Amino acid sequence: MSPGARWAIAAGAALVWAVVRATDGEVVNGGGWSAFAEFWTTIVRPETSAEFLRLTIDAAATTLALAILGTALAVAIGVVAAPLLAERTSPRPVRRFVRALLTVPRGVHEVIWAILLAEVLGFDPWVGIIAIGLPFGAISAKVFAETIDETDPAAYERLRSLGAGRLAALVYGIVPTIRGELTSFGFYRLECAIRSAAVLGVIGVGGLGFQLDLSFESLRYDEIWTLIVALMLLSGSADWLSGRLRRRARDGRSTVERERRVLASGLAATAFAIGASWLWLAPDAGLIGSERTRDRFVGLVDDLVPPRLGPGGWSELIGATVDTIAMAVIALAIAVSLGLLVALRAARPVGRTADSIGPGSRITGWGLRLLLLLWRAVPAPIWAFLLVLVLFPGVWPGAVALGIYNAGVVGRLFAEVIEERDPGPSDRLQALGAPAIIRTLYATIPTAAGRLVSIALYRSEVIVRETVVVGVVGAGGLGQLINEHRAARDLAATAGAVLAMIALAALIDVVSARIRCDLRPDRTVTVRRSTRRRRALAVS
Amino acid sequence: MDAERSEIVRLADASVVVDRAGVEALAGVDVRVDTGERVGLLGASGSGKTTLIDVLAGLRSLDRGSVSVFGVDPGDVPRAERRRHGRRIGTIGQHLDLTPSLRVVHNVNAGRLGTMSTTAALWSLVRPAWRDEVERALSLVGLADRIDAVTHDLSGGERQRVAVARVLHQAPDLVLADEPTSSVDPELSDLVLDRLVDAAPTVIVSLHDPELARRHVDRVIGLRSGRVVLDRAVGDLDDDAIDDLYRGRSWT
Repeated sequence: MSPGARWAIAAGAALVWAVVRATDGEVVNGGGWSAFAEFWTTIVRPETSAEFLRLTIDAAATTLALAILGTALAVAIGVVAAPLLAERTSPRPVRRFVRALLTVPRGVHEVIWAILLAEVLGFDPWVGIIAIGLPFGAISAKVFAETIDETDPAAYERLRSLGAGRLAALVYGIVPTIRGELTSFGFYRLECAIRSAAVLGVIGVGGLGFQLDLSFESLRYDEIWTLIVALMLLSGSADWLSGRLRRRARDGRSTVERERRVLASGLAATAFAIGASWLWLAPDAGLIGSERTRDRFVGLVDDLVPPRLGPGGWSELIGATVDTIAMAVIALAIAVSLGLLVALRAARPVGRTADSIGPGSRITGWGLRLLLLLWRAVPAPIWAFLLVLVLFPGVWPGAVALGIYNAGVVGRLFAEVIEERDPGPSDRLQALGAPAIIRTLYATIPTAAGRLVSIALYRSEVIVRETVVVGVVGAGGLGQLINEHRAARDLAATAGAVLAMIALAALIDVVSARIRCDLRPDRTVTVRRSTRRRRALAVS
Repeated sequence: MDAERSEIVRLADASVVVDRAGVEALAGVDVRVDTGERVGLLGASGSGKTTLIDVLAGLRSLDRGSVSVFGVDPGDVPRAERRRHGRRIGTIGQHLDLTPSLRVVHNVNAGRLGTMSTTAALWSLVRPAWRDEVERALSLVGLADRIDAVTHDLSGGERQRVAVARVLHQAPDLVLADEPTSSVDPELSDLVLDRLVDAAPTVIVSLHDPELARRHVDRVIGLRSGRVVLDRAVGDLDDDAIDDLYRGRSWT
């Protein structure tokens, strides 16, 4: 049996197990259907009072500003750390040290960072900025370092051989080549940061997520829809911008004049965006270095260390961990199947089918892309709140919420892959008169399969970490445990649960790396190729 | 003159294994090059010319034997010596090793990175240092008008000339060049090689065309299957020796 088939069977078995594990007693709560239906019918009459629109715009500005400053911090961390992390430019002991240093910020989700930072900094915008900047910075450093290592080293080595120092050789020999990739990754991070800032809002950092939470508590569905539209606009324009940049970086080639102009206006726009965000949020500049912060930080570390088990002991921790796995498995299954189903129709047609497309399917395509945007623009905890109306609290609402949210993210990536595939096989089948469904099954999916699978695998790593997000709103698993311990001010137990989360995330990383390795067509190929994919698909 | 002092390059039994089967790109090469010599490396493709140049440039290490350039092993230059050693050697690889997305002026200036501080190197990307000298180096190879072009917009031959201009700008003590004119228009090859052999007192250049060797170097080393099969002054080079050198091609 091929490794692919073995893993497919294992995945099926895992899904069956997860469904059995999650289905503990009644799942569907019949009592909430009317509220659920009311939510969806309110879509036609969102709140449009001038007062609320103003509030929405303010909140959107806050979310955007948090995302911009968080991304700026992340890129700064990435740019400084990447040369220390790359094999090409960094001596081994330095590399090892930096890699170890970055494991923790990368392994811990933004929401947990925000919770911990709030203990130290209170409710300052810094909480959101650092909570986004730290983990994103660690990811950026890793991706930038991989980009450096994958670039043709000839120019760098040549410059080193004529006496250039490491930094000078890097800046002359490698950075110009990867500049476009770095910029487009930065924008991709911004796109993720906007979604992340919205999630952080739900737990109290402010912005659209916070307003969503307030409106949900007062059951103002009309307000919620207004806020959702704002999130979709924000998220959609960031997606559009980053997608455009990515395509342009790939197509490359531009003239000196144009490059200079783009560089100058890009720098000016970035400086303006950072300055405006800073003024809008007005974080307390003296807060970070202040004595009070230091005392609180020491106090927090004291409380966190040494981590220990909560009152429920090992059985509670293990139970929560297993629930988290079940939640992640179901969420991944939903995200991938739903995402693929929608992406197949949402992708802009390529090749011969592109010529014969009618207005009907054009509109369907637009509608489905809008649907994907809706799924990913609404933070997962908000989906969870909504689902708790019709599902009893537990693993299911969390899993479905994560599944829907991630279907939006994965579906967009899938659609991009499908658009970029070689249209040849599908065109040949069309010439033979094969109907669309056959073309999809025999040409489209097989042609794109490798990249689709690797997107799904990377998403699995992300989803495990994201279970924390829905756990915080009571959807079970380690996230809920973390939240309970924190509410009880038992920080050492919180730290214990966070450690379990880090360990679980690390385990999933290992499993997915193993699967990737087994599925690689040519197994003698070294890590290089898989890291290239990782960069292309690295996801928040 | 003291023989020890004038020795620039010395290879003794230099061997490089390229695959597990033990095939050697260099098989026991013994060569010595002194100050002021202009050496041309000849041989069919796969004869070991590129490997030899790479070994001297410190980009490849030996599996057997020894190599010294300016008295040190180029693959193992002491850390403190590295910059000083590197700036004395100007190299042109077969793949040129220019940065395609940099402008020509920066690629030429990069030849002097061994003498610049890091700050100066970074600042030079904003405001190019030595612009006049770069322009002069480029005009020597007929490219003065392309100083502000982005390197990837240049043709293959033009890029080779940029690489030559970089070495001219670097003004090293030794030039190591691997087929530096393979894509340059034939009528320009002579001009470019003239400039290159004047770029440093000592020059080692591999060439694809024996006629170019006759015109531009004063000593020829012929390689076949990683071995030195010919080493004589260019005046003693006759057609038979050349035919002999290229006879062992792969189809025989």
